[in-house]
Amino acid sequence: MNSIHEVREEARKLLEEKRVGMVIGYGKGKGKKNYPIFITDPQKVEELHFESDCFYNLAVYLRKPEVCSHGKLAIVVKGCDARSVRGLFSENQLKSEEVVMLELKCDAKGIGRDKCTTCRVKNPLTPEEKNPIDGEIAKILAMPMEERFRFFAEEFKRCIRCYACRQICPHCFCKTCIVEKSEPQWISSTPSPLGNWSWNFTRAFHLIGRCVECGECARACPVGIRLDILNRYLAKSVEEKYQFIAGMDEKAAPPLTTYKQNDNQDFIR
Amino acid sequence: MKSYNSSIVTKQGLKQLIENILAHKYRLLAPKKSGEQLSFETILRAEEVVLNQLLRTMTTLSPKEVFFPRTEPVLRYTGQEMHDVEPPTPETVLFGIRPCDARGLELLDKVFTWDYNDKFYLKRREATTIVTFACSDQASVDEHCFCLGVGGDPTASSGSDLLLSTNGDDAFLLEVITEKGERLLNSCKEGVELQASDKRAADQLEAIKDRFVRKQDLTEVRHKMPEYFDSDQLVQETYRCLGCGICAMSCPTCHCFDIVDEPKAGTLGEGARVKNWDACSFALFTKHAGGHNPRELQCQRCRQRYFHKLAYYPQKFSEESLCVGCGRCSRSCPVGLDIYQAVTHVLGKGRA
Ligand code: SF4
Ligand code: SF4
Ligand code: SF4
Ligand code: SF4
Repeated sequence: MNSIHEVREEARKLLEEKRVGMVIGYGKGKGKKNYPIFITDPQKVEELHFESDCFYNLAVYLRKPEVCSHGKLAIVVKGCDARSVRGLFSENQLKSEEVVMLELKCDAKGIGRDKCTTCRVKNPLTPEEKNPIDGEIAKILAMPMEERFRFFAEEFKRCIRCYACRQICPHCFCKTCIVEKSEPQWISSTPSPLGNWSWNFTRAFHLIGRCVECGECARACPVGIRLDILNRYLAKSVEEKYQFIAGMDEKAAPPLTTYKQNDNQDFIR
Repeated sequence: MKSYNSSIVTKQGLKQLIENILAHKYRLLAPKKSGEQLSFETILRAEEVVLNQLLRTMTTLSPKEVFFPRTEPVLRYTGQEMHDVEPPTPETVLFGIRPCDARGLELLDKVFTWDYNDKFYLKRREATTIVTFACSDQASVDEHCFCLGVGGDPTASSGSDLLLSTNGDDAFLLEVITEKGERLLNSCKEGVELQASDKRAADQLEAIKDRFVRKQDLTEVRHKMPEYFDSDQLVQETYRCLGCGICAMSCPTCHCFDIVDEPKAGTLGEGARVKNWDACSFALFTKHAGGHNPRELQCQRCRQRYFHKLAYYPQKFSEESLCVGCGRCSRSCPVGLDIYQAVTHVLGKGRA
């Protein structure tokens, strides 16, 4: 869809014909910024907006119990968010017949901390090869190991364990996050160097091949930790080793969640 | 006779004062640049104090961490033995907090001395002298600030030991508020030219008031809040909350903590019991051992935070609300949620 008018029209029809119980989209505060809104009344579809500050990835709401209780859902998505929805389909978190995507063209001019300048899916189905973060990653890879260690230690030192990175991520959908498990306690919940190191790396590892690089975690992190670098590096590795890009094909499960006899294994030592 | 204990100090004089504080071996904490943000950190050289910036930008996290760290051991254990922990309390000068933050500390004092005197918090409070910067600069107040609506004042001195405010281009007004502040100034004023003045930061209040976008008064909402406990409108306002803890953790007055045991790596039966920041926004906060969660939905958790701030605390401790209107929660919320907007909207008083 090219314009918000078409989206509103479609949303109205979906709600009127009771094909969906709720539409998740962007709304506008009085003369203010846009933020996520949830519409159940077809009379209210005019509240849907789309502007350059609609950087939120609304797919995160698809797994909220109060949202799911409305039955079938329609969701306004940009190219990046559509990857999330397809990712959720591919991991059997949602059925494609339960969600209607109202896809909008996005000029990627949002203001969410780098997330739009590094967007690779302005053209939703043909991702660009390069990501501007790759240059930064190359710099880190060129560092001697101790320096690399220091770089991440400095980043993670600031973590206050607010878990915004997890809460905002559509792909952090575990009912009980590993950091909340206490028998045994796999990860220390203390914001100490050790606890933070375990938390930030474990979360990154759990998202290998599943992260769609939507950039929301890095945008949300209140202390500006460079989660984008970690995620991009891991996504890039999966792309190179398995020729897999998360969220492109709703039928293809992420490689690290599946097993095939002929899987690439020569890098495991 | 001068009516107030205030003096004018030049920029150079202020720099000298900071140098003297360092020379006298105080631990100096002030907003420091960390990436694009400001955070309270130990200052080793006077140049690290970014005066221009701290007048304009608020720190992302509040100064509560100086007294109530994100994590700290409260006891250590070795096998069956327990050892008391004394918090480290170097003589500290906390420089450049805002009047709302200073007031926040006074509100926290009530919590940490209510049924139990929390020595970790109190000893740090005792060892710390607070030098506040009034929000007198043109750019100090932004569209999120609403201290005036919750009984605060951008030029107020309560909770501060010394109060600084801008006075023209290159000078500041320095007011002595408490004896503690006077002691600090007396011990650190050599070479600092102080010119007695009868001005006060509060003289600028009327002019500053105009800069506030958020002008509604929330001091009486505690009487109305209970009617809205089950309101659909409140549910709608907070529906998008993700349940991250950013709002609570960046707030100068949110004070919930969790107690966990941290075994020391490589030992058997050795470790520490630590106190970590927690937040009522987390689902885990109220989850019972059996799995039941009385606050099942995120909007209920969000409501708890608003009610604690604006209704429960005022009922329990004083007429004041536990929100000082610093605006940090709305500045950092990743989905643009905002206690001022939600509450004013729900209570039907219009919207900023
Ligand atoms: S960028 Fe962050 S929020 Fe987005 S999918 Fe990856 S890990 Fe999740
Ligand atoms: S959002 Fe940032 S500070 Fe919060 S838990 Fe994640 S990495 Fe830590
Ligand atoms: S109000 Fe905002 S910052 Fe607070 S828990 Fe909800 S989403 Fe996070
Ligand atoms: S609730 Fe928000 S505005 Fe109020 S004191 Fe806390 S962070 Fe500041």
